[in-house]
Amino acid sequence: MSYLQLNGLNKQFNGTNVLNNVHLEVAKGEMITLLGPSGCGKSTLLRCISGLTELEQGSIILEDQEITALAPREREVGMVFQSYALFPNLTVSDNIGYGLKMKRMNKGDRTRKINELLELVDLSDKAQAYPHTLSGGQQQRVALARSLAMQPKLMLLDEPLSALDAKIRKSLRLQIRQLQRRMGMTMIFVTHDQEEALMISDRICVMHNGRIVQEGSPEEIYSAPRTEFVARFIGNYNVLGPQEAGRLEGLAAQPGISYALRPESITLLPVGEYAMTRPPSFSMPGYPSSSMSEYPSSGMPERESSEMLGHDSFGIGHDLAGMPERDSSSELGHDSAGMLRRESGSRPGRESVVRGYDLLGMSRHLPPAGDSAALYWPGKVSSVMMLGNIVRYGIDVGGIPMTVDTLAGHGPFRPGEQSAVTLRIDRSQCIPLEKDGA
Amino acid sequence: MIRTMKYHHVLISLLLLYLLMPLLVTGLYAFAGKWTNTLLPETWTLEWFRQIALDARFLHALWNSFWLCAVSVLLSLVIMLPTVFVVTVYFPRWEFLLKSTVVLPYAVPGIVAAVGLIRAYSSGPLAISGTAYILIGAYFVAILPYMYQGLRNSLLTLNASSLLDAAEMLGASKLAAFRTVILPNIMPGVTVSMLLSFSVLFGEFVLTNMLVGGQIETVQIYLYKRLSESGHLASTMAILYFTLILIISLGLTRIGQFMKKGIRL
Repeated sequence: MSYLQLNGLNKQFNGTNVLNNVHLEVAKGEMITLLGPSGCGKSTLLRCISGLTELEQGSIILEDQEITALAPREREVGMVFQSYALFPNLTVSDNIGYGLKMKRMNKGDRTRKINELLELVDLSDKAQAYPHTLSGGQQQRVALARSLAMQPKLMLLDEPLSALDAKIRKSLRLQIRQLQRRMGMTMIFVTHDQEEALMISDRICVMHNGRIVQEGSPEEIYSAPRTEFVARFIGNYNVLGPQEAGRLEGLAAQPGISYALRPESITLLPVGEYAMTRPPSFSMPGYPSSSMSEYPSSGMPERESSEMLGHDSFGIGHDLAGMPERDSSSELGHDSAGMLRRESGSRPGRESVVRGYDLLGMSRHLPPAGDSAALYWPGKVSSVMMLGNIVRYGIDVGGIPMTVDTLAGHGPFRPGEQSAVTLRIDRSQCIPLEKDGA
Repeated sequence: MIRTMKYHHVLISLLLLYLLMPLLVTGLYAFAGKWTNTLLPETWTLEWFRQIALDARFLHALWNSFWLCAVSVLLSLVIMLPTVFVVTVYFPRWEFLLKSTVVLPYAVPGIVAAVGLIRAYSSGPLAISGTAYILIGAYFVAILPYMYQGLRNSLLTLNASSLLDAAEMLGASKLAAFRTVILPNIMPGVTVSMLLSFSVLFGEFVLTNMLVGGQIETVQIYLYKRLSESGHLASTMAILYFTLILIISLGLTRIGQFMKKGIRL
């Protein structure tokens, strides 16, 4: 029996379904993120759980108690708002003590509790200040303490960091996560920021049009998006529609399927050069990646060890230490791999294939014999963007725009704008997607 | 920089002088004894104040004005505060209805409204023409715009709905949330609305004169009647009237500040 259960929640506004048969189970002490674009129903879902918005259908069970029909104040659920919603006429202390006063806690206990919480959020020196004299980050910490004071069974955070500037946002989200772990608090965190979600969650629920379209650990969500929507929303995936996929050699195994390609899983090679190894995949041991099972995933058995090395450097502390450098894996593979020059397009027997792709001038980019696990496409660099530790290439692959990320300052091959390149991607890194709404 | 500052000071001084000049001269006249062909009065006297103080009619008119305005403003507050609150927070879609109702007093000139009211209420089931009831009713309508705008603005700037949500999540009932969170925070706005309404009503003449001119004497009506008798008396009354409004304003502002700080759960 899970701690919190949402069963078939439905909600309509003016005839449109804002929540569409939402099911969710949350374990005690879990940090769940509802992630989605604005208007996907994530905030409505949160408000329904809090009781501030009424449900049309479905039931909410919290710690074996049905709370669907209870008033917000009877649910023992805390909420933090994007707008902080601090009471402007009360001091920081009185704000934190508001709920306790409503509970008719006596003054001595209240003061003690308030002081504890002030210390917890590191605002002891602001106890007598009024909210409008505090910065946004401080105000949100007060709001957090105010909710924590009630010792709620469940804490709901509705885009609590969206109104803050980037630096404060980053530090506060770590503080929230630390607090949540330390207190073993069950939290549901609403955000539209995928980086935020990946960083602090135990589990992410991606929402779209009032449904949870995919739920899973940050690794699962990032490495194996299930639908086109999720792939487009998470990271900077190259999402190829069925038609685009059909134009790329070797990709369209099944017609009518879209594919997602992570920008860092693609390696750039000089034209006519082929790396003998495939870059290590993102997926971690133990997490099934949705790689296409019909393709052999281990074309180069002797390279498996280096691939594992890549994994190890990747897998540590995904939760609190922040998202690892996404690109380290591909670059590690790239660097450790010796580059091997080969003449291409000289093998009879592949004629039919070659002819098919001559339109794109792909005959020069045929894969070397034996590397059946990877795909090779010709491309032309259309833009180079420096993003700190990442260099992001915009590449035109036969009319299809693609993004390729490489770690800055690593690897021998640094193409400039307008230069022709060969893109190499592992077949297992081409993630087939389900249709939206499926 | 300094030059522009000076320029601003001069401009503001001129404006203040322009605004205060009539009051100043009226004040002088109220205290003036003999004042014929000199720039300033030749002699000073409190005679006019003595006469007014002994004039039972004036005091009665003052009292009439005061309670009529006070009752109207309080009635308006009692009705408009919950109405505006409920509409702004829970039914924003109905706001257009309230908005269009509220601008009506602007659209209908006082004299037209008065004639219509007299015709409607001089006979029939509600024959209240010429009584205080009709005046209070008319006053209520006249101050709708001030009350509505003031209340609505303070609720909107407060972001009342999210504060209510927060209070409810912290275990407060809707009523407790309103009393402890909303009310103390909109108090300054409410005070301003009440002040404005009170001042407007206190100086109201057209509606009052037409609706109850023969029956109830307010300050304005009395002032109008005595205007032709003695300029000194009229000036004195004007000054007294101004002072009264000033005292009420200061008092209400104080109460507003006190309420904001003082109400704690």
